[in-house]
Amino acid sequence: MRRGPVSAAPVPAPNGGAGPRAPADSSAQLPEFFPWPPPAPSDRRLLQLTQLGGDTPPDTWGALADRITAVLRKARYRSWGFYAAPGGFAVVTRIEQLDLENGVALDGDNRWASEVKVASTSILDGILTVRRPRGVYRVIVFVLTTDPRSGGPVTDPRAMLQLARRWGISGALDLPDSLRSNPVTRVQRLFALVYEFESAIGGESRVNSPGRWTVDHHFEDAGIVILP
Amino acid sequence: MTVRGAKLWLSGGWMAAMAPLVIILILRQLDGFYGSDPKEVWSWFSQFVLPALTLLGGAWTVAAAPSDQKQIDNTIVFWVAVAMSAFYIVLLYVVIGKQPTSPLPWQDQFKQSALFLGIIQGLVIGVLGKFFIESSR
Repeated sequence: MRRGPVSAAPVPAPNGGAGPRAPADSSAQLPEFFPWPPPAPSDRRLLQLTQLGGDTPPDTWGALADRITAVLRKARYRSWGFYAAPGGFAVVTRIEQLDLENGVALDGDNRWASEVKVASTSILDGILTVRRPRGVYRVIVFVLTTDPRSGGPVTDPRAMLQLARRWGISGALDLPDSLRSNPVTRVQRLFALVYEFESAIGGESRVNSPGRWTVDHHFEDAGIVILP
Repeated sequence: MTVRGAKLWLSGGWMAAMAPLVIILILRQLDGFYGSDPKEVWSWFSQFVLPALTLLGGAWTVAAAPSDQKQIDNTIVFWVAVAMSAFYIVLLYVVIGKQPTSPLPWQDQFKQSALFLGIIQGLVIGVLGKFFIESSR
């Protein structure tokens, strides 16, 4: 896994460098990920197309989508959603629950629980509870876009968390065929965004920005292999 | 049971039941359970706990009367007051006991609880008042 800084240089355009070709609009065929630009993430990473594996850089959106989903499958992700992004697309993983202390994904099915598992629901235990059960959650987003801007801080973290709980299961299952042949061009950028959410049952929610853990930590913990 | 003994049981019971509630609310506040603005916690407490405690305290501030040593005339009123007080106190604890696992924000939960606590508190205060008034005659 890459630990150091990553070059922002895109791969040459598949049309032999004859100039960027305007990518087809994905917004008509995919649900919108977020009003662009998306809110400031917890951490982010600009990626080269070659870092997702394979002998040659993917030259079409479809090839890139296949690389991303292959990486996610290896990381034992069960579902993800495809969304529209300006001049490209976004792949959003299903929300995962992390250990509050070390940011490591919980074991087994608890990893995919979108709510904190409460040890006991008895009223007696509830009376003696003085701290709210809190959960930390993670969503990883791979974005190919011609508009790599980042937005401001999240204004309504609770609403965003509710939205994030549906991202991984609400988007398109795969890239539509009509978009798969779109070429990857020089003007597009591939990057990863990580959103960390902290939420207490019946209490406050927030997006950690900056995050408590780095994007490297999240990739390594999730099993997402990014080549040097 | 004498009137004084009955007063002691009622007042002692209420005090003993409310002390842990106050401690729990303070600990929750200090641990951030109620966020950064816990005014509504103490508004709820003063609305649903203080009236009964004030009534009980008021009964003791009256100078000891000869009637304190006599037997209770109407034991039914006394036991109804005890039963309704116990029921009401249990409800108060149920409200705060459900908060850690309730999906409702705590402010909403307090507001929801006000709907039924207000009615039951009225009945409890009425029965307590009846007992104290009758026993002072």
